[in-house]
Amino acid sequence: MNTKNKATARKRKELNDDYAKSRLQYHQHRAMRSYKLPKSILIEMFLLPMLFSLFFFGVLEYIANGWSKFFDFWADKLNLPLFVITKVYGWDWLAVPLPFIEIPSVFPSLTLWVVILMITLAVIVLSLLLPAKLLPLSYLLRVVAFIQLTSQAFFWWNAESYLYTAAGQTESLLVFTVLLMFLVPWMHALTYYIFNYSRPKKVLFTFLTLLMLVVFAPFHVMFHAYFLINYSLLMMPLLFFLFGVLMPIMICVALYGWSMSWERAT
Amino acid sequence: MRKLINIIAILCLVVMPQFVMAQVARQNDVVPVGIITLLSEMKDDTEADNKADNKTDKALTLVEDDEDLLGNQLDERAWTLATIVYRILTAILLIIIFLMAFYSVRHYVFTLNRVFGDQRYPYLDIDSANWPSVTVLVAAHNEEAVIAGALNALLNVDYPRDKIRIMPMNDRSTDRTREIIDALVERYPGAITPFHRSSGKPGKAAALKDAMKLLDSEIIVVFDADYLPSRGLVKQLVSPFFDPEVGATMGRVVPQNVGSNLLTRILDLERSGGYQVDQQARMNLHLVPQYGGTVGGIRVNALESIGGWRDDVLAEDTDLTYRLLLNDWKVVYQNRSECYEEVPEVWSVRMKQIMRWAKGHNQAMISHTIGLFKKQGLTFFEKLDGLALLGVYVMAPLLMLAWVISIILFYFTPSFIVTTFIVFFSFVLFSALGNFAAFFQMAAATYLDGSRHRIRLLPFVLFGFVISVVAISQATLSQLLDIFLKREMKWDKTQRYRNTNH
Repeated sequence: MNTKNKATARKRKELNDDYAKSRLQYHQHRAMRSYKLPKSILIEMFLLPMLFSLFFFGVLEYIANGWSKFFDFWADKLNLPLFVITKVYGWDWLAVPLPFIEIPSVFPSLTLWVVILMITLAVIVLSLLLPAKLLPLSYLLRVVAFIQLTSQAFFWWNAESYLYTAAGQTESLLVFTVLLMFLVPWMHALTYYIFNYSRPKKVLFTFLTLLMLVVFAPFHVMFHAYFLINYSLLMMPLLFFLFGVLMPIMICVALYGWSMSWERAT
Repeated sequence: MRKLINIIAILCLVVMPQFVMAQVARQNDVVPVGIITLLSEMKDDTEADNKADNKTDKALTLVEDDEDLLGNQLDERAWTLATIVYRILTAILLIIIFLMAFYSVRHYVFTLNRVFGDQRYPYLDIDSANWPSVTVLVAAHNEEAVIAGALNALLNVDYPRDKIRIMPMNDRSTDRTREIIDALVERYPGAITPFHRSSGKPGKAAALKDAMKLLDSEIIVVFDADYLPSRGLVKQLVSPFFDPEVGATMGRVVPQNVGSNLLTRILDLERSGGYQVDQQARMNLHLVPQYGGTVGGIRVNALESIGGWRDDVLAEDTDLTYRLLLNDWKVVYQNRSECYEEVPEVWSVRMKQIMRWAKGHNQAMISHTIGLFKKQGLTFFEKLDGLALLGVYVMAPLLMLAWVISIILFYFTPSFIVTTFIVFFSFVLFSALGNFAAFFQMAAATYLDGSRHRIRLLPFVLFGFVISVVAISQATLSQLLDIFLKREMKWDKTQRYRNTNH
């Protein structure tokens, strides 16, 4: 009997606490809301990214192997003249081996130059014809066309002094993506872990983002390689400026928006 | 001490990028190969031309005798020129990157302060008092779609009847605005004092200037015609004026037509970031909350002491904020004082709106930057925030410039700075910029608002960002042309979308 009373009292207290919490939560106007940053979250903000960085560093070799096989597979399927070599980046025990695809730097022929110029001009015309509700897309197309036109002009004028190689482009892209992967947990610590989401959700979010980047990176590099081999160095400025590192970053932004919509801990 | 801080700030802003650039140049042993090649080719062309008429050119004959010497000299000159060009462009790029970093840090500090810092709501508790007399001015130019809604909402506010006067300012409307106002005046005798303006300079500031001549109240509260004030709003906006140092108050603007389309949803996110986080953080940190021209109150004495409304400016709100600041008046932001407005539903309308804001803001920057530097009695951080706020619309053309410089450097120098910039730019996109409110700021604002799903649209803010950068850059260019061609700046009214059934 005594035990039952105690249990009832405890349950009542819990209910009262929940009610008080919910009152506090729902009756506080949004304009007045603010939160505390407990020590546990500060510790989490340091430990979780550290663990993720160590974990990622530990598995990077296996990921790199997977990427290497991916490149071989698609080089064969797409019949691309490339071969994969492994390069070591970093110093001493911090060194990481990454697959690097050796591809030829193809200079544009006159026909290709004219065809891409025509396509660029068509993009400009299309950007002018798009309906008003697609205005941002119109401007983005014009930015694409502008960068491509600078490339057209440069290759017409002084192609011999072009400074970059196609292999260098794909290499830097992969290196930047790997750097981004190391930075992601720390960025999440500063912009996501500070909020009141449960720990599993925080871990899941960073894990999903890293997984997404791990899957996306080789496709991204292969996409660049395909374009650079088939459509020459003429495409490189566009790929570099608009379809390079910006793309994985936008993926991170999209995932961040999604994760911020997850239910919060009470 | 203050002078020392100012000197450090100047060093950070101007000298540091130069220093970094010099270090980078030294470390990379900069070889602007592209430019050298081009200049060498230009040299070859020049030699070829000169050879054609060498009989008339004595100096060239001398040079032809020693082609190696000429080649060396030209190479050296080309090298020097290319290095100078490279260094100038890199310096500009680094300065822009530094400014972007500054704005990013500012967004982050504001957001952390808003979410976790001590919040200031110093005047919200006042409920009953001897309220001062207030005139509520409703700016209306061709507002037949919305004016009735605003006036009906104002007729329901809980401010003492004998202390409040509602004055719609019908500024040369050519639609049914006048008719609707007059109908309401007839329906509620004595409650509304209309001001029909049929001539004079166009624009809200000019109309406000004329309306001031008809007022005898201590406080004015200004709304745009598309706003729907809640019952307690006028009291909330007036209560800070019990503090004699307060010159103006500002409430939070919340979009009313959020669900219309993607644009309105993006603007909702931007507004949330701007008010819920940015303005409140400035209030918390004793910086410079901005009077926004609507959903705000002004002490008439304060206004008179700073010379009244200026009708030669496009953003009378920003101009007023800085004139008050420079004359020792405080601006108070009241996050709790929410008012609903219509945001543009069409991109072209949004572009026009932001172009007007940009021009007005830039005008204020030109007028008040030096004054802000010289002003005694402001803290270092107040000045810094004031400058950051004034310069916010300059960042868009600077970003455009940074892109152009990056492209130039990409073709002409094998420098790692270009790639660094791209990475940096992308990171800033991730964590900071989006119409100058931050992604993080917006996410935090929706978190504080207690809403969840709307933040999923975060990546689409990029569209708003593109439009803002283009619009602001266009506005800045047009403004420069206005100055050179001595053209008068034009005031554009924002289109309304609410249906016209009353």
